Amino acid sequence: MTTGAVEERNQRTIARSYASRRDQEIENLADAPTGAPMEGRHWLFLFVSGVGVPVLILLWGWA
Amino acid sequence: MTQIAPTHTQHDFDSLPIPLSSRNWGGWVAAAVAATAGVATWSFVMGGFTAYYVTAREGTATMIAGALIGQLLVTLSQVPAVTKYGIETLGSTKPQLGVRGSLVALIVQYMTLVGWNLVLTIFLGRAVASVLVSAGVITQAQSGSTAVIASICGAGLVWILLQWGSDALKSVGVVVAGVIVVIGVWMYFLLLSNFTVGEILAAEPIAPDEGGRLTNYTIGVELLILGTLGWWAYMGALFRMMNHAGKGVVPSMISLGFGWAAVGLIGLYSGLISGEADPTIWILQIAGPTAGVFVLIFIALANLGSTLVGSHAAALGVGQFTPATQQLSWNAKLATAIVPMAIVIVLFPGAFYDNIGTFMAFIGIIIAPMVGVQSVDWFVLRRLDTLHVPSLYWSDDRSHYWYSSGFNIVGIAALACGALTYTALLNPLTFVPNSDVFQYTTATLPAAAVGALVYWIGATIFFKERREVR
Repeated sequence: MTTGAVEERNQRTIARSYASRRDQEIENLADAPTGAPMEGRHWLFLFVSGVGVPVLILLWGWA
Repeated sequence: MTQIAPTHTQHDFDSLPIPLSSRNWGGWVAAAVAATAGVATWSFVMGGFTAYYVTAREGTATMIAGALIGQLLVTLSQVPAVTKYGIETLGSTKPQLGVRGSLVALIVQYMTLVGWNLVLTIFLGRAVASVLVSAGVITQAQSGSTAVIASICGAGLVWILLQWGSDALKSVGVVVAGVIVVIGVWMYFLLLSNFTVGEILAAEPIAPDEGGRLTNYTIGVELLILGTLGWWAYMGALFRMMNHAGKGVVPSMISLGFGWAAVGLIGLYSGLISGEADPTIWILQIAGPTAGVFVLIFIALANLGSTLVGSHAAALGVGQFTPATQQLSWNAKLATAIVPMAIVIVLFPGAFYDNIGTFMAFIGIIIAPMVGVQSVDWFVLRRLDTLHVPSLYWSDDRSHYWYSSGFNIVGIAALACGALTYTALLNPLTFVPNSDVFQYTTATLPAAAVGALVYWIGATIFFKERREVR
């Protein structure tokens, strides 16, 4: 086997090994811990600042 | 990439989600980085646009309200998902558009980010040249080439800083945000010390639409909602380093929503009273070249900060699309964001800068239904609880989001219907309403609602049983 062929085979082995490791890493994502969701006060802030405040400001600007 | 930035976690440069244990941004850091992204010369540009249609009082209301409404939509579509799973904006669109259909989102995200980055770097180059001319350092004839060199230097600096990934955003963001706030307050002071509040309030809109006061008022709101939707493209890069959705809400609404509108008001008031929203012009006129240096510092920090965040987001977005792009090196991903910028800056900066409005208008009308579609998918169809993260990274039929040959036709149809709704109500190029309904509804809100409705109906009919909940 020539040096080039050995090199090529090694490259293929490395690529297969990387792909397999990567696939495993991706599969593990299904069980990864997740961040905390929004709580009631965050929802309240979001809708007060995104709906309530704009409505009041628009009424003020129009008056 | 670790050899380039040995102190940084590999995950930041990788296309995979940020693990919960590596998400270390608190609310203040996120607020600072979001302010860095949000405040730039586009704030003045938007204030200047608004001055065409409404008075100072009306504009104050429409700019703040429009930005908060727009940011509510963006927050709903992005913050809960990216903070829960540590994913990026493009990855978050795969359930709604399909693994291959997310190409639509990639185009929209990439064009938005690179387009705005170009506007900011070209503006920065011109500001440097303008101040150097007024200080007598260079001649008017040298200003064009100086502007190009300054823009290229800005893009190069961004590339260097981004070798440190999101650490660069964190470190630069906190400093830049502080300086921006101080100089922003100084600009308000300068404006109010040269013009009385009475003068500003009495100034008439520059060129209002003939449709009447309500139409102009609604255009003012529409401008800011549509402009604010541009943050959708930045959200993943900004908030995926957080581990709590609640912590992301305040920075999102205050720094991105309120922040850019608050600075934009400077552009509104100066536009109304002097006809010039660009601070490199009106501040130089009223306060001289020394003040021009402070303006230049503001523009350099604000624009480079925003370009930093935009380039980071664009590189992350490109790195999400296919296994091939996922395996690109961090520098190769950065090159896809920065090299096109450099080419445009050198070859045709003027033509690009003068026509950016047309281009960005078309991009904006896709984001409007996109936020509606995503919000329905996360909350009404409960995808937020059932997202299958590995499927975001498989580009074949193993993915739960493969649908029909990689395309979710329902999602793409919803985007098309939303975009058509927008154009039926408002011409996005001229901002002339196409329907009387516009003055009561805006165009963005119906476009988002139609997108959401079409997606909800389609998904309910065609995807009764989702693979990830079997």
